[in-house]
Amino acid sequence: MKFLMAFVTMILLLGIKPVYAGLDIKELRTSTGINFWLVEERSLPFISLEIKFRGGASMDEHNSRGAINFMTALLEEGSGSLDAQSFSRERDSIAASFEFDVGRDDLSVSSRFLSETKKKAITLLRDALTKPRFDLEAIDRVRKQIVSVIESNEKNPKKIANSELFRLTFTDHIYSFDIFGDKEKIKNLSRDDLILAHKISLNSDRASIAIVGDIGEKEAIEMLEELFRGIPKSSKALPLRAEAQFDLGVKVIKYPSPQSVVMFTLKGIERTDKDFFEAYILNHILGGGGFNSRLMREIREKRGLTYSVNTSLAQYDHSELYLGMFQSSNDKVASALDILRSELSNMAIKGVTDEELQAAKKFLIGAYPLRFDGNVRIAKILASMQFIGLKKDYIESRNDKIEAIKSSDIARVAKRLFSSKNFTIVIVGEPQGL
Amino acid sequence: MHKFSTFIFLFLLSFSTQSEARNDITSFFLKNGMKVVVIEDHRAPIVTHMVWYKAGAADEEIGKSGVAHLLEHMLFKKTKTAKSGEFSKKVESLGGSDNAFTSQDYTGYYQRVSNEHLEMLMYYEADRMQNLVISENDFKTELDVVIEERNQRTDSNPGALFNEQNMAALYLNHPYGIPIVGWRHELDNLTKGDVLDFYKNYYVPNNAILIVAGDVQPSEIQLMAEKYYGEIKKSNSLIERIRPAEPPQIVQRRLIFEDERVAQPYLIRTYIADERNNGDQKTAAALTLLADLIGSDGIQSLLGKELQLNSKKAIYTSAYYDGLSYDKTNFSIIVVPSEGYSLADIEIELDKVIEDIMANGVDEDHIDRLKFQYKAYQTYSLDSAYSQARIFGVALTSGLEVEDVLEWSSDLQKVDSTEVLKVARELFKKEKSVTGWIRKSSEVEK
Repeated sequence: MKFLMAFVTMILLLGIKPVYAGLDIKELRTSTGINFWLVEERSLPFISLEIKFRGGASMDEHNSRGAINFMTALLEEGSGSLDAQSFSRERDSIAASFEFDVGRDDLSVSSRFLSETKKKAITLLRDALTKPRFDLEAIDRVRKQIVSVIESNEKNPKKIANSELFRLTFTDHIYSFDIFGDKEKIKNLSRDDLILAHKISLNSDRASIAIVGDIGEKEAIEMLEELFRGIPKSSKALPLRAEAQFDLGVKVIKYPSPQSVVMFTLKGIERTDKDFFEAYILNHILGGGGFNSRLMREIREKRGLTYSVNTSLAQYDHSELYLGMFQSSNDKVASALDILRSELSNMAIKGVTDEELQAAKKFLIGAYPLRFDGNVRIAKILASMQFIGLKKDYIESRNDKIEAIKSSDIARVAKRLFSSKNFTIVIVGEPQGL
Repeated sequence: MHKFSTFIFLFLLSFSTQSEARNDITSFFLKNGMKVVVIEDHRAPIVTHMVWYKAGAADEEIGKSGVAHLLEHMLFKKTKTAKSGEFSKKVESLGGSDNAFTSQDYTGYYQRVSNEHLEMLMYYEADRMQNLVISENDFKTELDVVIEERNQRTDSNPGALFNEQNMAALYLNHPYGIPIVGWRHELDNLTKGDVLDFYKNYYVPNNAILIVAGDVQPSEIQLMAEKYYGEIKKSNSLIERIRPAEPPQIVQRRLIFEDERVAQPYLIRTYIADERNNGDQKTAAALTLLADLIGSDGIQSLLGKELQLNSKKAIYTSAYYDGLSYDKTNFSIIVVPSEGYSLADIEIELDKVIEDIMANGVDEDHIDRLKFQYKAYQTYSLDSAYSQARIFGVALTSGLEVEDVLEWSSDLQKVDSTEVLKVARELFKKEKSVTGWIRKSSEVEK
């Protein structure tokens, strides 16, 4: 142990090489065929492991919506010979943390554990992933919690707006439903439904994996072989592409509040689209860039009509949206919407100024290396890169792609993105004068 | 199993030497009295730069609630030489990020950029410490923005609205009972002069702390900080930070909050509690572990075990305590009853668990597991220079010194069951508490 201490102190004194410039990503493969990326980073005695299983809530069947999320909430509620309480005691006694999260297209597992207790941590995590007990006691307890969350969401104006926007946009595709499912379905889900949900959502051939921290190649390979022992290959096809509708106008849902929540969507753009980087820059200028975006400037800074407004390119495996949101007092929401509309059409007609384009490029290029800060953050980025199909050399070439973008292309893509007739708006509140 | 616990023991020992040997932390004063803390993290060429003022909402004049926070917004506007928004734009042009936050005890500003740009940050941050200019128009629109912020964060959220009332009921005299964002009727009447007064009184170098975290050397920071911050004149009229104190609390208070937007009825019990003090963090350390033992450690905690696992009378339970506070803080417990149990039923159950602690004490093994986790978090927290910086910022504006932050980890390690029981007996006095029932309007208690 003395050795470990001396080592930590030495690193703190001398410093080590910059992570970004020298981020040394190894692409590795276990003897069992599991591919993963590793960054060996020895300065802190712990390991970050990030896994994204493709599928997530999109694997839900229509008649058991919410089962994937429900099942995931049970992964830490007992496995193998340990019941819920024993499992959490074992996990805490080594100070490991496991987080399971369900998204529309993925089930992610983020874990962090000390180097000294990694064997024990991996055994516990493997049991959680492969041998969940789904005890009836835990099922009933967690079911009540999920129903409570759904009931809270039904009263939360942001969640109401979000659910309604997805329901309208995706009609009967699985994306049109909430990840949590609906109350009545959750109440009726059986243990068998959860066992099936487990089988179809944790599959070795659908895993994107990154490890960052105090571990070398050989050990990392062994660790993953151990972890994936018992995780089956996929047996159920991923859903088909979602047909989305974008020209549904304004829908108002009455809700008692001094403010209205406004969510809107336009047609999005695929990540593999040749115009993706142009769209990415345009979004930064319009509403993705924090304080200095056009929408923040026009709606907040100049007129005080909102506290915050933002837009984002949303990429899903089977569709894509261009989403935006703001909240305004009921008596100001109409003015804020007018400005939003005129900014969108302005963007379509006039594009952006050279000055804006240069500023956006500078920000996006400068901000990129700043993301690679900390084991946990790097592990998440690397797992996501694999998940969306990027190669590791993307890190080196990404900024060149941004730099190379021309203003003529920006103008063309602005026209493509911001044609205001393809526009759906959901307002939750008591808006006046619309 | 035996082998395993021996191992944990060794591990704890080796860890505890680490907190005393934090070679990555350096602190010093500039010649005008501004405190500087440097946190080295050389893993990536990135730096986080923060300036914290020992001035927050609890330092506002009576009747002027919201001034500290409104001033924070105004700092992103003009100075004598910089245009409105110029600093933020500069940071953005470098790919950096910036923001600010206001609490009862502090106001903090930060930026995160690639380390070669640090000097520019100091130039602009030092500029807005002394040269702020507030135009009528900027004042008016920014006050509107703050009112929208209040609408969004408080008035649209029944939980936040209750919390505001809860604090007002808990603190009989101390300004922690006044919301940081400000009461709406007082916000409406704030003037530019109110904001400038607060700025002149508190935004001075001898009331500020500079924290630089990342790939930097303390010696270069010292030179740079003297050049930009060290030249600012110190204030000789800095008001001593003495807030109105609480009288003895002799009556338990009960609040019933009804709002049709509440989906799920719940109960919150809040007690006045001791905070971490310079050179004296023992009570706060025990209270921190008490919160875990009773509620914030999920189904390992007593409430989780009793009410979620055993009797199933609650679907969610938790406890919350944060010892970082300049004056007396609070300790809160939340219980969400299962269907079929009223708030009155669940309150009886909560009181039983509390009485059980007083009568039977707490589990020493659980304390050991918690202590081991706190040790590990110490290691995990080194992964983020930003959160390290933030911890020092909050601590140093809450009356603590660098040494207190460094010793906190070993203070936690010294807590035992006797100490926890002692602080529990002092804490759980109903006359020092507020019990809140939050429910839908017209919901009848069974």
